[in-house]
Amino acid sequence: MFVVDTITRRLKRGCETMAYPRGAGPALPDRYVGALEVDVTRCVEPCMQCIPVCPTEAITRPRPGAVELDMGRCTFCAACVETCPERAIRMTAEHRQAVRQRSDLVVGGAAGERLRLAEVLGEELRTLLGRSLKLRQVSAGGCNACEADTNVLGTVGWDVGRFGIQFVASPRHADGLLITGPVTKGMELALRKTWEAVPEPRIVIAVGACAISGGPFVGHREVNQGADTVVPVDLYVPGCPPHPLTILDGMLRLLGRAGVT
Amino acid sequence: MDLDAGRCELMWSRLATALDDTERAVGWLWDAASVGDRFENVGRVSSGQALEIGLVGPTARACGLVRDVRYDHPAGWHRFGQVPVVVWPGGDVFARARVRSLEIQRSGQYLREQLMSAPEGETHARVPMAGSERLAIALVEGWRGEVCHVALTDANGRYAAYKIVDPSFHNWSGLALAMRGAAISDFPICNKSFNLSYCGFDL
Repeated sequence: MFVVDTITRRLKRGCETMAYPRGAGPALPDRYVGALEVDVTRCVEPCMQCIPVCPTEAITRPRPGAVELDMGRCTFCAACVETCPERAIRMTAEHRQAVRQRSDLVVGGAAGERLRLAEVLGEELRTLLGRSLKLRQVSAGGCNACEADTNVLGTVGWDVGRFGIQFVASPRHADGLLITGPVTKGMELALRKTWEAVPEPRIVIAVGACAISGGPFVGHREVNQGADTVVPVDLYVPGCPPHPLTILDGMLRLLGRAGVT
Repeated sequence: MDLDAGRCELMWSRLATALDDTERAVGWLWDAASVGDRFENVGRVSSGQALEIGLVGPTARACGLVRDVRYDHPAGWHRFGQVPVVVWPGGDVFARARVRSLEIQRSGQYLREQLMSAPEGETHARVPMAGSERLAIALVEGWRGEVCHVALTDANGRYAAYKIVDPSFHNWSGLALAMRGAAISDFPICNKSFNLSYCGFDL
């Protein structure tokens, strides 16, 4: 009988939601690159070898100082890591990467900057949201990679619903937007209208290199250079695409729930 | 990145588990009488209409059209490892779901065969500079159907224009046809059964 079968199958499968963030997150693959860091003591002037190998021109060399790596542009191909003779640019396998300010994604440089992970939303907004965060997803010219890694958060394994986070079918029902893609010229007006349709105060999350800076399309005339050229952004989640764990960690940081139950 | 023997084995066994789980879930779906009732004769596109508007991918194959870039224009590895083309007649939500469920089986089988006999050799090849003032077309069978890339180069061999046509560009019109004369309550199920890209239409 279908009903009995359904119940038996559900019982057999048990709880399939991961323990994270109370317990361990899913195991990351051994080839996972993670956040990149620049060891400023090893990066010697006037070496420029890493700069031309970067496909998105994410690396620059200010003078004086070590190279600056913009993780908002980075596609995590790790070509710079392989090229650097001094091994000054390193992979860390660190999944925590989301930040609140665009400039917080630039690492290295004269000051030896590291990622400044996102801080929680202001008290007023947090109180207003309570234990619920409804987001409208806008794919503004994305390739579906960031969309897929965001979508998976709604499945049983991740179940973002347990944090009160839900993707809704209309901006009118939402507290904010989650934007993917570089914001193509064709999607610019749609994005602007969607943003305007979200009741204030609203938050905006930009997921992936495209939505942060244009990524591989940086400088192209048919796209905008990321979401914050069209609407203000509150959370930047770097990656190409980011691991779902990186996106979830970013959202939980925003809500002040990272690492707590 | 290369796929060594250890990774092939790991993927093979993971794929086996995933396919087994999917098979069970899909079997469960077909067992439900409510699914049959909701899927059959809903959102129908005839094979004639499909041909006329140029449907692609699983949606076209669910209208009985044998249409798959890997089969119609086999290139590269697809000349040696042929993917079976899954076709089902009917053009309704049921047919589209049927094509998808059969494609999961066949693709799973295909992948497992390929993993057992992964080719040796280099994973990278150097690509020479593009010629000047050329036009190049490439077709890829994506998971929604045919993706067409067109590149034009200028006098210096650099890209003058690059255009990608997404499968959804063709298939949105199919959804409009499927909804003709139907109740608005059929929209969500038709929409999901076409599974179109919202930003692919105006790429």
